Amino acid sequence: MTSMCKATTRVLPGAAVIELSGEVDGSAATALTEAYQAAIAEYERARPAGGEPGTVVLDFAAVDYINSTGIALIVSVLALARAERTRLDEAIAIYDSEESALSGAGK
Amino acid sequence: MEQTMTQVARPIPRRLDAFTLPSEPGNERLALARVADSLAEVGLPGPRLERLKTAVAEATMNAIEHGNGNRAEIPVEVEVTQNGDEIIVAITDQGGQEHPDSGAAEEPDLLKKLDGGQSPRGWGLFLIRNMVDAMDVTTDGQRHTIWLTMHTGGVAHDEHV
Repeated sequence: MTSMCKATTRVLPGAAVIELSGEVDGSAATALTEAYQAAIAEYERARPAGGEPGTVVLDFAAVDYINSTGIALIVSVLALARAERTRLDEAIAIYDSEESALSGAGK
Repeated sequence: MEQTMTQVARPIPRRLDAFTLPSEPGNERLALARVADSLAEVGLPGPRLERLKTAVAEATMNAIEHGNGNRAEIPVEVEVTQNGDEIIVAITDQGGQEHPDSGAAEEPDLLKKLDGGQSPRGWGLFLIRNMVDAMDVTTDGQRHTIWLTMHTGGVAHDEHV
């Protein structure tokens, strides 16, 4: 009935995407933190010298359960991103799809 | 057993299910599944059922953790009742007046949470309040009950995300 949270990362031009699947609850803490660190590291490796800091996209399309503890973990990751990455947009926005997230962030 | 009959043409509340769970983390998923099963026949539209399930899971988590202190031997009691077009889920723990649900919790503020001015946690009651049509809390000695009400004849206004 329950499935562990999985988080895979990939890098696009200007963005690091973290795809989440399974359940985002208290058990997802390690997966989320590691995915964020991996996404940032991969993005920085792929980023051209002098390139803009990118957008972090969290893709929830394959998440089948989330609770208040999971929301708290997501907020912790966002707070970390905000503290570490000074050029991050001030606003955190929610989009219906990965495509709209990427084009919205590119505006 | 005392029973009283009334002449009023009100629908008679119908108990759909009543059960207890040990206060162990994760058992909110059992509550969620069993409440959903008990509502299979009542015609609660899908999105409203999902909202109620989320609220039941959060309220049960609170009962397990804050009410009963994760002590497995203290049961969380769950009762599902239908009263006309109202579905009422009552979730009871032994947290009494000290229960965090009884106090005025600080409203979650995303910007404060991002800047560290507020703990990232504290979404449970916020979720519950925003998922159901009504939420009430009562205490009777040590018994602390959260009442979640959802109308089966839900209207479209709350179907947005």
